[in-house]
Amino acid sequence: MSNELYPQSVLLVEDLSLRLGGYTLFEDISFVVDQGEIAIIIGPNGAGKTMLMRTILDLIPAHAGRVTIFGRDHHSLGDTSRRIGYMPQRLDFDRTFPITVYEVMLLRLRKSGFWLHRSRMRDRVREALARVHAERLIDRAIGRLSGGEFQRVLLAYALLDNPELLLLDEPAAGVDITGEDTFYELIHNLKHEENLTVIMVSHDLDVVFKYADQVLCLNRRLLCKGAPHAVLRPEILEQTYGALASSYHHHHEH
Amino acid sequence: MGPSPPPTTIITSTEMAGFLSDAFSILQYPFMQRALVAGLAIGFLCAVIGVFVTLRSMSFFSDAIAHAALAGIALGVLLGMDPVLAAVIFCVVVALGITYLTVRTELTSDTVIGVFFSGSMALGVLVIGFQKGYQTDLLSYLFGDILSVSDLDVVLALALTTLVVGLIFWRSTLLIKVALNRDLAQVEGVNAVAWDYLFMVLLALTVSVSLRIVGIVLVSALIIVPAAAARNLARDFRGLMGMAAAIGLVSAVVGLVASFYTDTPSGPTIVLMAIVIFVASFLGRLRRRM
Repeated sequence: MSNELYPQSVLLVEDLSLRLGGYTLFEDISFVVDQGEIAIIIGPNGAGKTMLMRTILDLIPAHAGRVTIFGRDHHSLGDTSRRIGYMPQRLDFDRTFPITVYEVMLLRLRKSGFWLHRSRMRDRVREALARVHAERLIDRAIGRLSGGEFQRVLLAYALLDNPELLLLDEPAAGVDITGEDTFYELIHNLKHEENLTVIMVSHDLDVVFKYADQVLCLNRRLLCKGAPHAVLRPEILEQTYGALASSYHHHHEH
Repeated sequence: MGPSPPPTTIITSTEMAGFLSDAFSILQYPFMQRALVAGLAIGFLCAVIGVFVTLRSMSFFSDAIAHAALAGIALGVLLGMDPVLAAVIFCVVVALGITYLTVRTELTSDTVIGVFFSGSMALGVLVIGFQKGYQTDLLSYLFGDILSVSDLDVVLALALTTLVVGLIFWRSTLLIKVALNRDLAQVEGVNAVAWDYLFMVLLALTVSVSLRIVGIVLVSALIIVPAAAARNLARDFRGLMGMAAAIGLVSAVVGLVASFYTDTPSGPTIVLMAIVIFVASFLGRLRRRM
C-alpha cells in the first residue's frame, strides 16, 4: 500500500502492531480513511481501541507498521498537527483541576501569555463554544460541568484551529441517552458543514448504523472493515464481541 | 442580677502601635533583613511551583529532592564548597537521574524516587560522619535557621526565584497543558518529556535555595501546602496561582517574624503558619459545600 494508491486518504494505517511489556495489544491493523468519512472503531473493552487511537497519533511507539496522516509519516507531522483535532476520553481528566472552560480553551489559542487576557481571545473562545452550543459554559469551572457539558467543551477544544481530521475517543461515554443522540447529531452536522473527516471509538452499535461510513471491528486484530450494513454480519459481531452481540444485531436488521 | 457580659479582648491603640514598631524594629537587624528578603522570595517561588507539583501529584518527588540535598550539603562541606551551591548541583543531578530512569525504564516513578530518596539520605549521613566533631551547622539545614542566611543565599534565592518564576509564567500554557492532559499536549506538538526534565530541574533549584530558611525536612511542605490551600478556595487557574502565591508570602513573613520572637527554628514556624491557612481554607470549603 502506498499513499499514491489512495489520493483521497486522510489516514493510512499499514500493518500496525503494538506490544507493551511482551503483551500484544493489537497486530496487523491496516485500513484507509478517506476525506469526509466518519469511521467508527468498535470492539469490546480491552480490544485495544484507545491504544490504536493513541498509536495512530504517535503517543505510543508502534511495534511495527506505518501510519500516514495527510500524506506525512506520523512521526514527523510538524505543522500538520494543526490539522488534527483530538478528543481524549473524558475520564482521563482530573475534574478537580481548578480551571475554567475559558482557560482550558486559551491553552490551545495561545502558546505563551496565559495571563494576558484580551477581549479578542474571549470572543474567539465564545465563537468556538457556540459551535457546540456551549457558549453559556465559558466561565464555568470544569469540575462543575455535567458529563455531557464536559464532552461538548472537549469537542469545542478539538475544533479550535479548524482541524480537517477529528479523532474522538468515546466522545459520548457517560452521557445520558438523550444527550448521546444530540452529541452524535452534532458531530454529524459539523462533519457536513466543515467537510471534516472523523475517526471515533464507540461502544454503541446504534451509533455505528446511524452515522458510520466505515466501521472497523477491533479485537486484537481487525475483524471487519467497510460499510456497517455490508460488514456487520452476526458471525463478525460474534467474533468481535462474543456470542451475546449477535442477538443485538438482529434488532438492527428490521 | 443579669448575666455578665462575655469577656472581650481589646487591643488598645498603644499596644497596636507597640506591635507595629516591634515589627519594624526587627528590620534593623541585618540578619533579619536577609532572612525576610530570602523568605519572601522562596515563599513566592515554592507556592508558584507548588501549584504544578500538586496538579501533577509530584509531592513525593519534591520530598525526595529535599532529602537528596542533605548529601549535597554534606559533600559541599567535605569538599570546602558553599553548601547551598553544592546542594543545587546535587539536587539537579538527582532530579535528572530520577526523570531519566522513569522515562527510559519500566520502573515506576515511586520506585525510582524511593531508591534515590533513601540512597542520597544514606550517603548524606555517611558523609556527615566523616567530618570531625558535632555538626551544628549541618543540623541547621534540617529545620532552617534565619541566623544562617548569608548574602550569597539572598542573591541565590532572588536570582533563582526570578529565573524559575519567570520561566513558569512565560510558559504557563505549556506547563498547564501537560499537567491537564499529557496526550492532548503531545498531539499539539508539545515535547512533554523535554518539559518533564525542565520542570524537574526547576523543582530541584527551588528546593535547594529554600533549604537555608525552611530546612530539608519541611521544604516540600512549603511547596505543597500553599497550593493545596489555594486549591480549596480557587475556582479558576488564575485564582489558584494568585492565592497560592499570597499564602506562600504570608506564611513566610509571619513565620519568620514569629520564629524571631519565639526563638524557634524558622522552617517549622513557617510551615505551621501555612498549615493553619490550609485548615482554614479546608473548613471554608466544607462550609461552602453545605
